[in-house]
Amino acid sequence: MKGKARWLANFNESFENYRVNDVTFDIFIHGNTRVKGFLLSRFFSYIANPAYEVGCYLYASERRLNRSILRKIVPTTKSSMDANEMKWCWLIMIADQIDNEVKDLIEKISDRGLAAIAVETHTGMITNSKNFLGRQARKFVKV
Amino acid sequence: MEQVVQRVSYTGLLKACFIVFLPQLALTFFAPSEFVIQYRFVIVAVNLIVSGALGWKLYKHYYHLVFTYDEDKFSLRKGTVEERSYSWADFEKLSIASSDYGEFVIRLYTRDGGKMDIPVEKLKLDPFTLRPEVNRLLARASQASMR
Repeated sequence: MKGKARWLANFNESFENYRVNDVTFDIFIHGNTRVKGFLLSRFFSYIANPAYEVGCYLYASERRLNRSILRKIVPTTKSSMDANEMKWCWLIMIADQIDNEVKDLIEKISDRGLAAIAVETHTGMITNSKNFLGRQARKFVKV
Repeated sequence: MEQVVQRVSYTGLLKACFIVFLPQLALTFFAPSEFVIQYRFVIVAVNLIVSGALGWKLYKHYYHLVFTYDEDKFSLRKGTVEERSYSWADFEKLSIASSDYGEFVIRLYTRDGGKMDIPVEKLKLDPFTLRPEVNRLLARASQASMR
């Protein structure tokens, strides 16, 4: 990992090759928006931060990201979110090439708890869902 | 081939020594003050030696962690009082997690959602080095159980 970091949540568990149904995410990390510190930080977190379970899924592929793959990834992520009782979730998809149709679909994702970001490595173009989480997530994803 | 990992936990050792040291310190409060003043260096030296020796024994009996594993199974022993043994085939996936105290553990999940932690930080192992090895052992055990 390179570059600056930005605090999103207290991620405390990470999986590699995390399999949900028939989709394998390269990385899945999950945590909580409430930090566990000592007295002051714990108290500040208690009064200032919501206690949301959150997760971040990373799907990377050297193939072209097309509609059928997206149609598997997004529902799988949502079902995993529900199973893990997560309120917010970031789904980052990295592919060599991404179909324009897929970019449109990603922008149209309206689920308030799911931020979808697709990174096309061939052109360096980043597409994000236009919901609040997606717009915020776009600020910290750099290529 | 069986691998044995055991490292001295200085925090555990210090805790054990302190447990032995405290009652000795309390005893000196009940001793006559002239005696304590006259032999203060001897008392401190004896206290430290006894704390070190008995603390080590106490540490080995209750706190010392030993992680043993081979291709099929692993066990985690804490002191001489607690030993848990498992087969790699009992688990299907693993993660690296940070405990409430900020210590890294390798968390193994059973098929029914149960979990078990290997305290890699206490064993002074690098979780990111051990993860591929444990992944390999889980995959191997899973393939063997399918046959």
